[in-house]
Amino acid sequence: MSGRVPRLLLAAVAVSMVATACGSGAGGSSVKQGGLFRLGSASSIDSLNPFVAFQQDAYSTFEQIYPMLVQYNPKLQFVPDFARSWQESPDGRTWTFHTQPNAKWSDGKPLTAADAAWTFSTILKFQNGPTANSAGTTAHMASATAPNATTLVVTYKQPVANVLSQLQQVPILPEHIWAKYATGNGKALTTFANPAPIVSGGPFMLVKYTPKQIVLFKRNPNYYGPKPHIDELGLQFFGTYDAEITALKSGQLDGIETVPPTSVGTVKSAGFDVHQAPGNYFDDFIINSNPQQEASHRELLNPLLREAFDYAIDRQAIVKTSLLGYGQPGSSIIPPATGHWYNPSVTPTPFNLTKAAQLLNQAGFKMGPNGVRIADGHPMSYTIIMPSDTTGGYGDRSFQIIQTDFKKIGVQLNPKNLDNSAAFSAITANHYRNFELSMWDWVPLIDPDFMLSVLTCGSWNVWNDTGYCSKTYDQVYQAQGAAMSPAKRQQIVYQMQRTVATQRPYLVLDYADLIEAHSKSWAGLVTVGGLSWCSLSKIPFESVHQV
Amino acid sequence: MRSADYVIKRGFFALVTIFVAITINFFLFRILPGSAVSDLSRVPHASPKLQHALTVEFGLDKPKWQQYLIYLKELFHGNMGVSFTYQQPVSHLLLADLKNTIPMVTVGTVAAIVVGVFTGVLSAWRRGSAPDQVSTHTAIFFYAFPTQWLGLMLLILFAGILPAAGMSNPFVFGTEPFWQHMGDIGIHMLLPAATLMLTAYGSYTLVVRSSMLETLGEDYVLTARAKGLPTRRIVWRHAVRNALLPMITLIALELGFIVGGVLLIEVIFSWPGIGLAMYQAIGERDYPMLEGGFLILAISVIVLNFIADLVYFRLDPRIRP
Repeated sequence: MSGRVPRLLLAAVAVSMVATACGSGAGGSSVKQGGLFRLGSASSIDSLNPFVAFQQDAYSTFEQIYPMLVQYNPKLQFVPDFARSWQESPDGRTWTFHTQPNAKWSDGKPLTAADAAWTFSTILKFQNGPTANSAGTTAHMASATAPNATTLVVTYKQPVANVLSQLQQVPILPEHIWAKYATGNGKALTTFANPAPIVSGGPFMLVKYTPKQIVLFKRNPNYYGPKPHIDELGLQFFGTYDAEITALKSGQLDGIETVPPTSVGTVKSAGFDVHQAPGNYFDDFIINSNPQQEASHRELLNPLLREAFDYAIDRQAIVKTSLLGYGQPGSSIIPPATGHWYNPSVTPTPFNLTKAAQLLNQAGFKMGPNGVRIADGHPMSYTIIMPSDTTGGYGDRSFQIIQTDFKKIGVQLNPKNLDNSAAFSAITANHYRNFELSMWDWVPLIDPDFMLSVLTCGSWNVWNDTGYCSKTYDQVYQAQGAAMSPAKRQQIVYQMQRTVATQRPYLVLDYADLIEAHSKSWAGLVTVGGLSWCSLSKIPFESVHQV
Repeated sequence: MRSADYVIKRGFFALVTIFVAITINFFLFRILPGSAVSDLSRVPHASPKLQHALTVEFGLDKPKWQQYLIYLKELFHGNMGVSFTYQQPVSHLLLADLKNTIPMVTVGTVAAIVVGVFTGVLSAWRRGSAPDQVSTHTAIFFYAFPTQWLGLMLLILFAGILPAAGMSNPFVFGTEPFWQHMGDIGIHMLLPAATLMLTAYGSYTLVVRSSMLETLGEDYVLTARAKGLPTRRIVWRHAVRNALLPMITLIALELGFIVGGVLLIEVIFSWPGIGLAMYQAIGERDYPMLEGGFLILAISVIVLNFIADLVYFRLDPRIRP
C-alpha cells in the first residue's frame, strides 16, 4: 500500500501482533529471552539521515534507535519515552519535559535533555533549508533549551494544540556526533550518511546496513527504557511481495510488514499468525473544488452533482472486490483508526443509483442521445487522473466499479494514468483550473491537524490535491490548532469533518486494513495504530519474544 | 582501408553516438510533466519558500540549455551529480550497484551462450531429428516467456530450497570467511542467473542453428566429408568456428540490452544491482540516478558494439582491406 504519507509520520507497515499485554517490555521472568527476529519489508530505507530520509522504514528504524520525547501506546495515548513526564504552562506556550536521568548513548556518552534541545534548535535554525523535512514538527516553536541535564523547556510563539503529536515524530540525535555538521549553512547535515554502526539511544543499536538489502540491530545495553526480550532484530528488503511471502513461507523470515489481501489465505494456510487492523489510511475520489476552475467543467462545483457522485459509488462492492473484504466503507477524511478524532456521525453514503440519477435530473443535467448527460451544453465526460499510487495497487479495480456505475447514470469517466509526480503536477496545473477528477489515497497522522491542513488554501501546490480553498474552513482550522482543551478541539475537528463530508472535495471510498503476519514461534508483538514496525512506538519490539 | 582508419572511424561513430545518447538522456527526463521538487518539498507545512530553495539548490531554476551545459561539463569531469534521494554521489552509488549486477549478468549470459551454442550445434547437426525438434521448441518456448513470469515461477518452484531474495545471507552480524561468503553469493545467484540464462539462451540456439545449417552446406564441408573426416571433427573443427561469427554481433547486442533487461530480474529477486536502483529511482523522480543509470546502459551498448566491430575486423578477413 503506497500512498501519500506525510514524511514524518510514516506509519510503516509492519509485522505484527497478538495483542497481548504490552508496555512493559522485558523483565517478565516467564518470558523467553534472546533470539533474532527477522522481519521482511517490500519497501526500503533510502537514508539513515533523519534530515534526508523519506521512506517509512527509515522512520520506523529511527524509532528503534533514537530516543523520542514521547510515544503512543496501543490505545493511541501518549506515554513516556525519553521524557518521563511533562507539563504545559497555563497559557499553552511553554512545555517543560523531565527527561530520563543517567541515560547514556550506546557509546557510553551521556544522553541528556541537552541533546533534545540541540536537536529541536537545529531543526529550527535550518528549517528553510537542510532540516526542512522536519520543519513541520517545530511549527510555531520559538526555542528549545535545557536548563539542566534532565529538563527540556520548549516555548512556542502561540498556543499549539498538538505539541506532543509534533514532538513525538522527532528522533533526538546525539549532539556529540551531529554538532560538527550543523555549522555554516548546515548543508553537511544532509550530506552526512550517518553510516552504521550508529551511536544509538533507543532499545536497539543499528550495527549493519547494506542498502536495498538489510539493516541489522542489536539490543542496546545502555537503553534507558525496558530492555527488549530479543537480542537481535533484522529487516530485510524485498523487491516484490511475492519474494517476501515466499521467504516467509520457507522459513527465511519470522514476520513480514505487509500482507497483500490476495495473499492472506496463502499465509494463513501456511500456519502463520495473520493480524488485521483498521488502517489509518483511506482511498478517495477527488472532485476539483477550485471555484475558479475552467468553465468547461464548472458544473463539478454543483452540490447536487457531488451528492449524486457520492450516491453512485458502491463502497460495499469496492471493499468486497478491491480489498477482498479487508477494509471498511469510507466516510470521513479522519479515519476511525485515529481513535477519538473520528466523527462517528459521518457515515458512508449508501449506494443508490436511482437517487444519484434523480439528483442529476434535479440539477438539470439531461440525458443525451448517446447515454451521456449534458451539463451546461457539454457532455458529462470527464478525465480522471490516476496516479501510480492508485493504479499500482487495487485502485484499478475500484475505478472499474465506479466507472461502470457512473455510466449507468450518464456520466463517462476516462482514466489518465500518470506517475505520482506527474499526477500532482496535472492536478495543480494552471492553479487547479484544468483538472476535473482524480483518485488517490492518504495516510494521515494520528493527530488530525495534518490531514485537516491539506484542504487549507495555504496547502495549495504542496499537499492540497483538490483545489479546495475556503477562508471559513481556514479559520476553523486555525481554531482547532490553538484549542488547548482536548474536548473543545475534538468538537471543532468533528465539525470540520462534517463540513468536508458535506462539501465533498473528497468522496472517501474505503479504509483498507493493515495486515501483518508472523511465525507462531513468536508472541508479544503488539500493534500501535495497526502497526508493530512503526514510527509511533517502541513498545512492540520491546515486548516481542520467542514462544 | 587501413586498419587504423577502420578503428578510428568506428571509434568516432561510437563517440558521436554516446554524445547523442547523453543529450537525449538529459532532455528526456525534463520534458516529462512533474518535477523532483514537487515530491521532495511535500513535507507537512512546507512553504513555497522551501520549494523555491530546493529548485535553486538543484539548479532547476536555470534555463534548460544552461542546465545541459552544466551537466556536460560536470560529466566530463566524472561527476554524475548527487542523488536527490540519497544525497550521495551518483557515481559511487551506481558503481556499487554495477559491481553487484555484473557477476550475475556474466554468469547468466555465459551459461546462456554455452547452452545456446551447444543446443544450436546439436540441432543443426541432427537436423529434423527428435533432438532437433525438442531443442528448437524448448528454445522458442523459453525465449517467448516474459522474464518476470519465468522469474516468479522459479521463485515459487524453488521456495525453501534456494534463497528468495538478496545476494547473500542477510542476517549475518559479523563477517563471514571469504569463501563462505562467496559460496553464499553463488547460491543466491542461482535463481536470477538461471532466469537470465533461460530467457536468453533461446536466441543463441536459433542463431547458431541457422548459421550452422548454412555452413554445413558449404563446399569445404562437403570436401571434408569426401576426405572421410569424422563427422564430429567436421562439425566442431570446421563448421562451428565459421558459424559462430554472427554470434559476436548477437552477444554484443544482447549484453548491452541484458544490462537493462536485468531490471525485472533484479526487482523480482531483490538483487541490489543497477536495475533495481533504476526501478526505485523512477518512482522517486531521482533524475541524477536515472540519468546516470541510463547513461551507463547506453554506453555499455555502444562500447560493446564497438568491441564487436573490432572483433569482427580481427576475425573476418572479408571486411579487411
